Amino acid sequence: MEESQNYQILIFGAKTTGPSHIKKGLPCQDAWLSEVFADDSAVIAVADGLGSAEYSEQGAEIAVAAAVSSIKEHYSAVYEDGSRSKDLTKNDAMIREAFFSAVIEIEKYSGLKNIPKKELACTLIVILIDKNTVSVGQVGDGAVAGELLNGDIQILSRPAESEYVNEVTPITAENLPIKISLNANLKDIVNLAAFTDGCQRAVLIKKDGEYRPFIPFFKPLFKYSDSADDILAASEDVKSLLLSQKMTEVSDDDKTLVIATIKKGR
Amino acid sequence: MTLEEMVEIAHPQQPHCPTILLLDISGSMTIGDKISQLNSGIKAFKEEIETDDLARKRVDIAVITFGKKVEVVSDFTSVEDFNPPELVADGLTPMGDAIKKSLEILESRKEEYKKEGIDYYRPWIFLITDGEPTDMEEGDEKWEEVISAIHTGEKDGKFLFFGVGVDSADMETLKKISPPGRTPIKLKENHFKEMFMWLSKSQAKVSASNMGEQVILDDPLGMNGWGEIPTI
Repeated sequence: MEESQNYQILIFGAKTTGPSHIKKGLPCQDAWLSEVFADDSAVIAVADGLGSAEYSEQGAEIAVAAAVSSIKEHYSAVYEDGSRSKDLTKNDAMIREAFFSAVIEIEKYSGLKNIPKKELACTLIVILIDKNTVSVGQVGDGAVAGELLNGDIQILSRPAESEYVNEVTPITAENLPIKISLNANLKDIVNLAAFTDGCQRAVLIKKDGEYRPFIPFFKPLFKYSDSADDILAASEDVKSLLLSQKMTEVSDDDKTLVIATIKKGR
Repeated sequence: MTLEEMVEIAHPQQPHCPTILLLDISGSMTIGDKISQLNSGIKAFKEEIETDDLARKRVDIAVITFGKKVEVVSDFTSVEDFNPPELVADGLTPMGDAIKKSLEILESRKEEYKKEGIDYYRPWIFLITDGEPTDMEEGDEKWEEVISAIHTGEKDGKFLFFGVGVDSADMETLKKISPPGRTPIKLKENHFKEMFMWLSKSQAKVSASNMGEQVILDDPLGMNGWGEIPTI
């Protein structure tokens, strides 16, 4: 049975400060965090602090930390009868909760430090890998692309619709529940890559108004991740890629790229 | 082979930043030689934008004039390909039809962007007049149509509408036409060039902005600014 198989999950990635941020003396406003719970499940959170928000790099850090710890609780909580919280909670519900936790933590911090909530505004992508399924929630821009078992490369989560290139809705905006775009329990995914908008124009193309993954980017990237075994070295390679002229000439914004490889059995 | 060498990246088109200059070339623009100041202002605008690497590639400019008739003198084009027209002042002020025309070409431009998969910034409509509309009057059908199109368009985020009054412009009427919350600006005498410099600088800032970035424009009303807000 598939459920009883072991999955090994490898996660690596990097974030880099965009040339335009360096020029303006701004910090990198992207943040990411991941955790592999057992061999067969993991969470990844990626956030991009808005350029218009003064302390958005702090908002982004708070958001990813809160999202990861919210999901982690479900995996560590064991009830008296021995059942685990995560077995009683649907994957999409866990993702939604991760978003609410992120906003609650941002609100708490906003109150504590007396910083208006909007100055902590950021986007957020939360990915939950649970055995052989992947669930993704997203508010704002950036995206997640994935490779299926049959080699197809698809978008698992796309940038939120926004007519203009420099406008985006953050998680701190009103009506969060309706803004979360959710794709739960996607099957047969062997590789995935989550990235912020600084990478978007280099790795996605738009055709007939629809975003599509740029295959000559993802195919080699996933081939690389298939054979990667040293997370630190692989993360360094991602960092070099993000800092390369190839990437910076398309966008001078901060860039984050996180890759997860899900290997079946051993 | 390094990861960097392994991957290829998409070479997307530059995002575009559409701007419409909606210019009054009615007969009265000859008074005080405003028309030649306007002409040299447009030239200076092109030259200035061309000095900015990003804005040069990203700003799309269209010029619509209204005088003897409403005319799309120059449809949307990159600043590089833009030939500043030599405008001649004559006729009345069919501002209502000109505004309608500008919204029309803007919509079709957006459709082209969408079809081509080109990202774009929120468009600017920049209206410059020295009079008042002669093809509509407050309360008539066209007036209602035009005002509602501007006010709802701005409110729905379809564009940003800036009204600039020159010389003897009817600022009271221009205020009613302009979206609530964006008071029209009265151009200081002989400050055409300064205004176009501000416009090019603002467009350069907008076209360099990244996702979610707020653009802070220079204040056109400051000591060294080109305009003032009349308190009539």
